[in-house]
Amino acid sequence: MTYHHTTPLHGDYLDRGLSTECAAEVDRHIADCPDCRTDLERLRRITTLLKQVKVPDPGQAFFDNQAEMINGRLDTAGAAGVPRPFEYLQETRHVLRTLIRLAAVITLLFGAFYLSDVRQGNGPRKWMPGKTGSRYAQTEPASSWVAPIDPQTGINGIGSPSLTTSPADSIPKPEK
Amino acid sequence: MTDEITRLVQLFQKGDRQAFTALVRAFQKKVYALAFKMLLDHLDADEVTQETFVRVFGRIDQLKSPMHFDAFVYRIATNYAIDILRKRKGRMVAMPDETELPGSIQMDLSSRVTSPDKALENKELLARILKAAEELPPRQRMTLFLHDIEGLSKEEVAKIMGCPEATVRSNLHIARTKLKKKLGKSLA
Repeated sequence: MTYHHTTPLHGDYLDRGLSTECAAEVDRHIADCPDCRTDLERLRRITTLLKQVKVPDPGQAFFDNQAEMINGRLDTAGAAGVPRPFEYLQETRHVLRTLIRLAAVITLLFGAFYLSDVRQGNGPRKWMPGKTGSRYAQTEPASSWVAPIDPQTGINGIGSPSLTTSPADSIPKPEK
Repeated sequence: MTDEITRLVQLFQKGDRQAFTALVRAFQKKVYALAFKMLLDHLDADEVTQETFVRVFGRIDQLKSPMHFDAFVYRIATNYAIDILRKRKGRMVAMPDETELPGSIQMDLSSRVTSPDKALENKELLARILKAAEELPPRQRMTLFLHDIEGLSKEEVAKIMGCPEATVRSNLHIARTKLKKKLGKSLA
């Protein structure tokens, strides 16, 4: 056993909370370790002095008065209506938590529904109120989303260089 | 807990106000002593005692078994005392000198002291220990005081504070280590 092994056991050693074997081992170590002896002695001093703190006796009149005060407070608050601190907050928190869970589930469902179509390459569905049989209708495949490229500049309709042409192609070559 | 207390708790749960008053009478000294040992201040201990019973009255529906009424009361008292300790962090505590005990704290010197010099030394050291304990986090301080001043077992402290015994053991070890470090040579 070393100093570092023994130190955490000092409290239980003083409180007699160690098993017989463990206490004997600590005993053996303490006999040879002056640091542990000092440490243990300091701890013993703290616990011994703390045990000597005495509660003053405020007298029977104080306790009689206190009991009356408690009853008085309950009478003022109403027998059934003693407020619990933060009770209303706890209720609000419960409602909020339920709402957040519901919103998360709805978001996940919509996300899954939307992504399933995009992954299949069918493109997004659009709301078609006039269609019968289904609320959503397929409009165009995902491959047709690419904006048309201007053959002269190589830039697509939204102003980005086309991915189908190299950036060098989009720069006009100087005339020789 | 005695059968009489259990009977009173059952009556109180049915709405008997007189049973509640009898329970206040039976427990108020214990709650006051516990609160005093946790807070070391008469006024705060009085406040904790009153508030504890007002809360017990309002929360009696949360008590599942009348047999555990004492732990229920002590836990409410402990939680409120922790709240007071947290609030205290922002304000100065009435401890005029590091080597003086606050007015309401007394020391039982009758059994151990051999000389007046030793008594004075112990008193000063205790004042330093209590001053150093003021700086501990509330739960560590509470664990230390319940175990070392009130003399409760680790199991009882765990029951009152609503945490595992291992947490009590760890909090106690940390609190004592911090005190030892803080007090340094004055403990030698």
